[in-house]
Amino acid sequence: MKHEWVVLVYKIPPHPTRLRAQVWRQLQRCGAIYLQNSVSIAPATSELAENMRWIADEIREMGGEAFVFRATAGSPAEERQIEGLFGAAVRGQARKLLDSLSRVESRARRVAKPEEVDAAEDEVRRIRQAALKLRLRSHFPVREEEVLHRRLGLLRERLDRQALRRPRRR
Amino acid sequence: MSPMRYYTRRRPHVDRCASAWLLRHFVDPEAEFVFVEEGAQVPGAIPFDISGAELGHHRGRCTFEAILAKHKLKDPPLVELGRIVRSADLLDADETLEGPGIDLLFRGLLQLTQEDHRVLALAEPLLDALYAALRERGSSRRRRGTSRGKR
Repeated sequence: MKHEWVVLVYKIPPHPTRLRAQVWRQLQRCGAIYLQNSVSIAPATSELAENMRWIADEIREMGGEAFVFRATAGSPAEERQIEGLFGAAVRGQARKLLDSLSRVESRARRVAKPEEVDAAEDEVRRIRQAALKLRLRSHFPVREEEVLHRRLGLLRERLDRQALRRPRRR
Repeated sequence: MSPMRYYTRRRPHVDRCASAWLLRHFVDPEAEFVFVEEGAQVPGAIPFDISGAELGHHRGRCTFEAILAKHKLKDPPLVELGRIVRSADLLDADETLEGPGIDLLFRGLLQLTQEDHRVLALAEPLLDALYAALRERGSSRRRRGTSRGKR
Protein backbone atom coordinates (compact mmCIF):
# COMPACT_ATOMS: atom_id res chain seq x y z
CA MET A 1 0.00 0.00 0.00
CA LYS A 2 1.19 3.50 -0.78
CA HIS A 3 -0.15 5.29 2.29
CA GLU A 4 -0.02 5.03 6.02
CA TRP A 5 -2.96 6.48 7.91
CA VAL A 6 -3.63 7.62 11.43
CA VAL A 7 -7.05 6.56 12.66
CA LEU A 8 -8.86 7.97 15.69
CA VAL A 9 -11.69 5.94 17.20
CA TYR A 10 -13.51 7.68 20.02
CA LYS A 11 -16.53 7.97 22.25
CA ILE A 12 -17.58 11.26 23.86
CA PRO A 13 -20.12 11.70 26.66
CA PRO A 14 -23.40 12.88 25.03
CA HIS A 15 -23.62 15.97 27.25
CA PRO A 16 -22.69 18.75 26.95
CA THR A 17 -23.08 18.54 23.16
CA ARG A 18 -20.47 21.26 22.59
CA LEU A 19 -17.70 18.70 23.34
CA ARG A 20 -18.75 16.67 20.32
CA ALA A 21 -18.77 19.81 18.16
CA GLN A 22 -15.40 20.91 19.50
CA VAL A 23 -13.76 17.63 18.47
CA TRP A 24 -15.49 17.67 15.09
CA ARG A 25 -14.18 21.19 14.41
CA GLN A 26 -10.64 20.33 15.46
CA LEU A 27 -10.57 17.33 13.14
CA GLN A 28 -12.18 19.26 10.32
CA ARG A 29 -9.65 22.07 10.56
CA CYS A 30 -6.60 19.89 10.10
CA GLY A 31 -8.16 18.04 7.16
CA ALA A 32 -9.06 14.73 8.82
CA ILE A 33 -12.26 13.09 7.55
CA TYR A 34 -14.79 10.69 9.03
CA LEU A 35 -15.05 7.07 7.90
CA GLN A 36 -18.07 6.64 10.20
CA ASN A 37 -19.47 8.36 13.24
CA SER A 38 -16.61 8.74 15.71
CA VAL A 39 -14.03 7.12 13.41
CA SER A 40 -11.77 9.73 11.89
CA ILE A 41 -8.79 9.25 9.57
CA ALA A 42 -5.92 11.36 8.24
CA PRO A 43 -2.68 10.68 6.36
CA ALA A 44 0.01 9.74 8.91
CA THR A 45 2.27 12.74 8.45
CA SER A 46 4.13 13.65 11.63
CA GLU A 47 1.99 16.79 12.11
CA LEU A 48 -1.36 15.08 11.61
CA ALA A 49 -0.39 12.04 13.69
CA GLU A 50 0.61 14.35 16.52
CA ASN A 51 -2.56 16.37 16.16
CA MET A 52 -4.67 13.22 16.38
CA ARG A 53 -2.88 12.15 19.55
CA TRP A 54 -3.54 15.54 21.16
CA ILE A 55 -7.20 15.36 20.22
CA ALA A 56 -7.37 11.85 21.71
CA ASP A 57 -5.85 13.18 24.96
CA GLU A 58 -8.44 15.92 25.09
CA ILE A 59 -11.26 13.46 24.51
CA ARG A 60 -10.01 11.44 27.50
CA GLU A 61 -9.91 14.63 29.56
CA MET A 62 -13.55 15.19 28.63
CA GLY A 63 -14.31 11.81 30.19
CA GLY A 64 -14.52 10.05 26.85
CA GLU A 65 -12.58 7.16 25.34
CA ALA A 66 -10.15 7.40 22.45
CA PHE A 67 -7.74 5.15 20.58
CA VAL A 68 -5.27 6.21 17.90
CA PHE A 69 -3.94 3.68 15.40
CA ARG A 70 -1.47 3.79 12.59
CA ALA A 71 -2.90 1.74 9.79
CA THR A 72 -2.63 0.73 6.15
CA ALA A 73 -5.63 -0.16 4.03
CA GLY A 74 -6.43 -3.86 3.62
CA SER A 75 -6.34 -3.74 -0.17
CA PRO A 76 -5.45 -1.34 -3.00
CA ALA A 77 -9.17 -0.91 -3.70
CA GLU A 78 -9.85 0.19 -0.13
CA GLU A 79 -6.90 2.52 -0.26
CA ARG A 80 -8.29 4.12 -3.42
CA GLN A 81 -11.65 4.41 -1.73
CA ILE A 82 -10.13 6.26 1.24
CA GLU A 83 -8.18 8.59 -1.06
CA GLY A 84 -11.46 9.19 -2.87
CA LEU A 85 -13.15 10.30 0.36
CA PHE A 86 -10.39 12.84 0.98
CA GLY A 87 -10.70 14.06 -2.59
CA ALA A 88 -14.48 14.42 -2.29
CA ALA A 89 -14.21 16.50 0.89
CA VAL A 90 -11.98 19.04 -0.86
CA ARG A 91 -13.74 18.82 -4.23
CA GLY A 92 -17.06 20.11 -2.88
CA GLN A 93 -15.43 23.21 -1.42
CA ALA A 94 -13.28 23.77 -4.51
CA ARG A 95 -16.38 23.63 -6.74
CA LYS A 96 -18.15 26.26 -4.68
CA LEU A 97 -15.16 28.55 -4.97
CA LEU A 98 -14.95 27.87 -8.72
CA ASP A 99 -18.58 28.96 -9.06
CA SER A 100 -17.84 32.23 -7.31
CA LEU A 101 -14.76 32.67 -9.45
CA SER A 102 -16.73 32.10 -12.68
CA ARG A 103 -19.03 34.98 -11.76
CA VAL A 104 -16.07 37.33 -11.24
CA GLU A 105 -14.43 36.11 -14.45
CA SER A 106 -17.46 36.85 -16.58
CA ARG A 107 -17.67 40.34 -15.11
CA ALA A 108 -13.93 40.92 -15.61
CA ARG A 109 -14.18 39.93 -19.28
CA ARG A 110 -16.28 42.98 -20.09
CA VAL A 111 -14.52 46.32 -20.46
CA ALA A 112 -14.56 47.40 -16.86
CA LYS A 113 -14.71 50.72 -15.08
CA PRO A 114 -12.07 51.25 -12.39
CA GLU A 115 -14.66 50.75 -9.63
CA GLU A 116 -15.63 47.43 -11.20
CA VAL A 117 -12.00 46.31 -11.35
CA ASP A 118 -11.62 47.23 -7.67
CA ALA A 119 -14.74 45.27 -6.72
CA ALA A 120 -13.58 42.27 -8.74
CA GLU A 121 -10.16 42.41 -7.04
CA ASP A 122 -11.77 42.39 -3.61
CA GLU A 123 -13.84 39.39 -4.59
CA VAL A 124 -10.80 37.55 -5.99
CA ARG A 125 -8.87 38.24 -2.80
CA ARG A 126 -11.69 36.73 -0.76
CA ILE A 127 -11.83 33.62 -2.95
CA ARG A 128 -8.05 33.29 -2.85
CA GLN A 129 -8.02 33.42 0.96
CA ALA A 130 -10.58 30.63 1.08
CA ALA A 131 -8.61 28.63 -1.52
CA LEU A 132 -5.39 28.94 0.49
CA LYS A 133 -7.14 27.79 3.66
CA LEU A 134 -8.62 24.87 1.75
CA ARG A 135 -5.13 23.92 0.58
CA LEU A 136 -3.97 23.61 4.20
CA ARG A 137 -6.62 20.90 4.66
CA SER A 138 -6.05 19.23 1.31
CA HIS A 139 -3.73 16.23 1.43
CA PHE A 140 -4.18 14.69 -2.03
CA PRO A 141 -4.20 16.21 -5.52
CA VAL A 142 -7.73 17.24 -6.51
CA ARG A 143 -8.22 18.36 -10.10
CA GLU A 144 -10.84 21.02 -9.22
CA GLU A 145 -8.46 22.53 -6.70
CA GLU A 146 -5.65 22.74 -9.24
CA VAL A 147 -8.03 24.34 -11.75
CA LEU A 148 -9.11 26.79 -9.06
CA HIS A 149 -5.55 27.93 -8.34
CA ARG A 150 -4.68 28.16 -12.03
CA ARG A 151 -7.75 30.24 -12.83
CA LEU A 152 -7.20 32.45 -9.79
CA GLY A 153 -3.67 33.11 -11.05
CA LEU A 154 -4.89 33.99 -14.55
CA LEU A 155 -7.62 36.25 -13.26
CA ARG A 156 -5.26 38.10 -10.97
CA GLU A 157 -2.93 38.72 -13.91
CA ARG A 158 -5.84 39.98 -15.99
CA LEU A 159 -6.99 42.32 -13.22
CA ASP A 160 -3.42 43.58 -12.75
CA ARG A 161 -3.28 44.41 -16.46
CA GLN A 162 -6.67 46.11 -16.35
CA ALA A 163 -5.69 48.12 -13.28
CA LEU A 164 -2.51 49.35 -14.98
CA ARG A 165 -4.40 50.20 -18.16
CA ARG A 166 -6.65 52.62 -16.23
CA PRO A 167 -6.72 56.15 -17.67
CA ARG A 168 -4.50 58.52 -15.71
CA ARG A 169 -6.18 61.28 -13.79
CA ARG A 170 -6.18 64.57 -15.65
CA MET B 1 18.86 25.82 43.89
CA SER B 2 19.79 23.70 40.90
CA PRO B 3 18.24 24.70 37.57
CA MET B 4 15.07 22.93 36.49
CA ARG B 5 15.34 20.20 33.92
CA TYR B 6 12.61 19.76 31.36
CA TYR B 7 12.11 17.03 28.81
CA THR B 8 10.11 16.73 25.63
CA ARG B 9 9.90 14.65 22.47
CA ARG B 10 12.66 14.66 19.85
CA ARG B 11 12.46 16.66 16.59
CA PRO B 12 10.83 19.77 18.14
CA HIS B 13 8.30 21.60 16.00
CA VAL B 14 6.98 25.08 16.73
CA ASP B 15 5.17 24.42 20.05
CA ARG B 16 8.17 22.66 21.63
CA CYS B 17 10.65 25.28 20.35
CA ALA B 18 8.48 28.16 21.54
CA SER B 19 7.78 26.47 24.89
CA ALA B 20 11.52 25.95 25.55
CA TRP B 21 12.14 29.59 24.61
CA LEU B 22 9.35 30.69 26.96
CA LEU B 23 10.63 28.58 29.87
CA ARG B 24 14.16 29.87 29.47
CA HIS B 25 13.22 33.55 29.01
CA PHE B 26 10.34 33.91 31.45
CA VAL B 27 10.47 31.05 33.94
CA ASP B 28 14.04 29.87 34.52
CA PRO B 29 17.04 31.27 32.59
CA GLU B 30 19.07 28.23 33.61
CA ALA B 31 16.48 25.71 32.44
CA GLU B 32 17.95 22.61 30.79
CA PHE B 33 16.23 20.62 28.09
CA VAL B 34 16.42 16.93 27.32
CA PHE B 35 14.96 15.33 24.23
CA VAL B 36 13.57 11.82 24.44
CA GLU B 37 12.02 9.24 22.15
CA GLU B 38 8.25 8.96 22.16
CA GLY B 39 7.01 7.42 25.41
CA ALA B 40 10.33 7.70 27.34
CA GLN B 41 10.51 9.44 30.74
CA VAL B 42 13.25 11.36 32.57
CA PRO B 43 13.10 10.96 36.36
CA GLY B 44 13.26 14.27 38.24
CA ALA B 45 12.61 16.36 35.10
CA ILE B 46 9.37 18.09 34.06
CA PRO B 47 7.72 16.86 30.86
CA PHE B 48 6.32 19.36 28.36
CA ASP B 49 4.41 18.88 25.10
CA ILE B 50 4.08 15.23 25.99
CA SER B 51 0.84 13.30 26.06
CA GLY B 52 -0.72 13.36 29.55
CA ALA B 53 1.59 16.11 30.88
CA GLU B 54 0.25 19.17 32.72
CA LEU B 55 2.31 21.24 30.27
CA GLY B 56 0.59 19.81 27.23
CA HIS B 57 -2.48 20.44 25.09
CA HIS B 58 -5.69 21.01 27.02
CA ARG B 59 -9.10 22.15 25.82
CA GLY B 60 -7.88 23.11 22.38
CA ARG B 61 -4.95 25.16 23.71
CA CYS B 62 -1.29 24.39 23.02
CA THR B 63 1.61 23.65 25.39
CA PHE B 64 2.96 27.21 25.16
CA GLU B 65 -0.39 28.44 26.45
CA ALA B 66 -0.38 25.83 29.25
CA ILE B 67 2.99 27.23 30.41
CA LEU B 68 1.61 30.79 30.30
CA ALA B 69 -1.32 29.67 32.47
CA LYS B 70 0.79 27.64 34.90
CA HIS B 71 3.26 30.48 35.51
CA LYS B 72 0.60 33.23 35.39
CA LEU B 73 2.32 35.02 32.49
CA LYS B 74 -0.16 37.59 31.21
CA ASP B 75 2.02 39.95 29.14
CA PRO B 76 -0.21 40.67 26.07
CA PRO B 77 2.53 40.05 23.45
CA LEU B 78 3.19 36.64 25.02
CA VAL B 79 -0.50 35.83 25.00
CA GLU B 80 -0.62 36.81 21.32
CA LEU B 81 2.48 34.71 20.64
CA GLY B 82 0.65 31.81 22.30
CA ARG B 83 -2.23 32.19 19.85
CA ILE B 84 0.15 32.26 16.91
CA VAL B 85 1.93 29.11 18.17
CA ARG B 86 -1.44 27.39 18.62
CA SER B 87 -2.60 28.35 15.17
CA ALA B 88 0.72 27.13 13.68
CA ASP B 89 0.80 23.91 15.69
CA LEU B 90 -2.85 22.94 15.20
CA LEU B 91 -2.93 23.98 11.54
CA ASP B 92 -5.69 26.45 12.36
CA ALA B 93 -5.65 29.25 9.80
CA ASP B 94 -8.69 30.91 11.35
CA GLU B 95 -7.03 31.59 14.69
CA THR B 96 -4.29 33.94 13.46
CA LEU B 97 -3.04 35.15 10.09
CA GLU B 98 0.56 34.47 11.09
CA GLY B 99 0.10 30.81 12.11
CA PRO B 100 0.39 28.99 8.76
CA GLY B 101 3.53 30.94 7.80
CA ILE B 102 5.17 30.26 11.14
CA ASP B 103 4.28 26.55 10.85
CA LEU B 104 6.10 26.41 7.51
CA LEU B 105 9.14 28.28 8.84
CA PHE B 106 9.57 25.99 11.85
CA ARG B 107 9.08 22.88 9.75
CA GLY B 108 11.93 24.24 7.69
CA LEU B 109 14.19 24.39 10.76
CA LEU B 110 13.77 20.63 11.15
CA GLN B 111 15.01 20.21 7.57
CA LEU B 112 18.24 22.08 8.34
CA THR B 113 19.55 19.75 11.02
CA GLN B 114 18.97 16.41 12.76
CA GLU B 115 20.27 17.79 16.05
CA ASP B 116 17.46 18.78 18.45
CA HIS B 117 19.46 21.31 20.49
CA ARG B 118 20.58 22.91 17.24
CA VAL B 119 16.91 23.33 16.26
CA LEU B 120 16.29 25.18 19.57
CA ALA B 121 19.31 27.39 18.92
CA LEU B 122 18.08 28.23 15.41
CA ALA B 123 14.58 28.91 16.73
CA GLU B 124 15.81 31.29 19.43
CA PRO B 125 16.41 34.43 17.30
CA LEU B 126 13.20 33.76 15.34
CA LEU B 127 11.19 33.74 18.57
CA ASP B 128 13.08 36.77 19.92
CA ALA B 129 12.18 38.60 16.70
CA LEU B 130 8.55 37.49 16.77
CA TYR B 131 8.18 38.58 20.39
CA ALA B 132 9.88 41.93 19.66
CA ALA B 133 7.52 42.51 16.71
CA LEU B 134 4.45 41.69 18.82
CA ARG B 135 5.64 44.05 21.58
CA GLU B 136 6.23 46.79 19.04
CA ARG B 137 2.81 46.19 17.47
CA GLY B 138 1.18 46.37 20.91
CA SER B 139 3.00 49.53 21.99
CA SER B 140 2.38 51.40 18.71
CA ARG B 141 -1.29 50.53 19.06
CA ARG B 142 -1.30 51.89 22.60
CA ARG B 143 0.46 55.08 21.43
CA ARG B 144 -2.15 55.62 18.77
CA GLY B 145 -4.80 54.98 21.41
CA THR B 146 -3.48 57.64 23.82
CA SER B 147 -2.87 60.30 21.14
CA ARG B 148 -6.47 59.88 20.05
CA GLY B 149 -7.58 60.19 23.67
CA LYS B 150 -5.78 63.54 24.12
CA ARG B 151 -7.35 65.18 21.14
